[in-house]
Amino acid sequence: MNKLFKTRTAEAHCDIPCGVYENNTIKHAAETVFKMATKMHDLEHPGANASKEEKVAYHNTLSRYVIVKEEYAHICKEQLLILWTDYFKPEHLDQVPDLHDKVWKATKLCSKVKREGTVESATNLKNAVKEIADIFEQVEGSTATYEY
Amino acid sequence: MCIRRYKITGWSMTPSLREGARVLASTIFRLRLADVVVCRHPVTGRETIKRIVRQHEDRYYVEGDNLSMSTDSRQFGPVTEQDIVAKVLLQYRPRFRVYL
Repeated sequence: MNKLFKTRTAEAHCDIPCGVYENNTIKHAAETVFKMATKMHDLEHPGANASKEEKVAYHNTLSRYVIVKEEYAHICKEQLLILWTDYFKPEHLDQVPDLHDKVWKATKLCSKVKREGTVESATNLKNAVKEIADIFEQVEGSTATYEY
Repeated sequence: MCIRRYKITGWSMTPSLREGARVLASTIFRLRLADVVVCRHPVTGRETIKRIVRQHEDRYYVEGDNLSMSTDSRQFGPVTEQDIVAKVLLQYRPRFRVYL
């Protein structure tokens, strides 16, 4: 029966090797995370004696900042992993021997900034992403493979 | 044989068809909107599973149910009836086996 009805594979992928890679997305995402962390830090707590409306407004604003931070930290992580797994090739390791370590640490920072939400972790992420974006430009030989 | 068995790989058809799902498909079919079909990928030539979302004359626009994880007619354009190799009839669960 199995021989008669051989099971074929139907792909439900999204992995066309389009070859379009850029570093704007990670920079933009890391910058957004940094801004949100800064805004969260600067947001004034209304205090225990504040009115209900003030408390609701505070929690609403804070929640919005957190949502955007989480979203862009995730985008940043995804895009870093795409560059790592799809773009960077073994020959790039000759130019940047600690590439794996840098990308690994940057993706870890994406998770850390989600967990902590501090300005310090967001700054570290921004710096790590800038470093990888610079490596991308260095090995690519241009600022981006396409313009928006 | 006009009936084929397929195993799904990838996530572009979730939640309807998850990674690893098995389906039966017929190579004799009449196409309608919302049918899930196996078509030849215009770029890679591999058999790809998508849903028909729009028809314009003899061209069919196919998309994955999970748009954010699908490469489909939004990228590679419509497919013709010749590109469609089978129409999915049903999903089945493979028999549970124990190997000793």
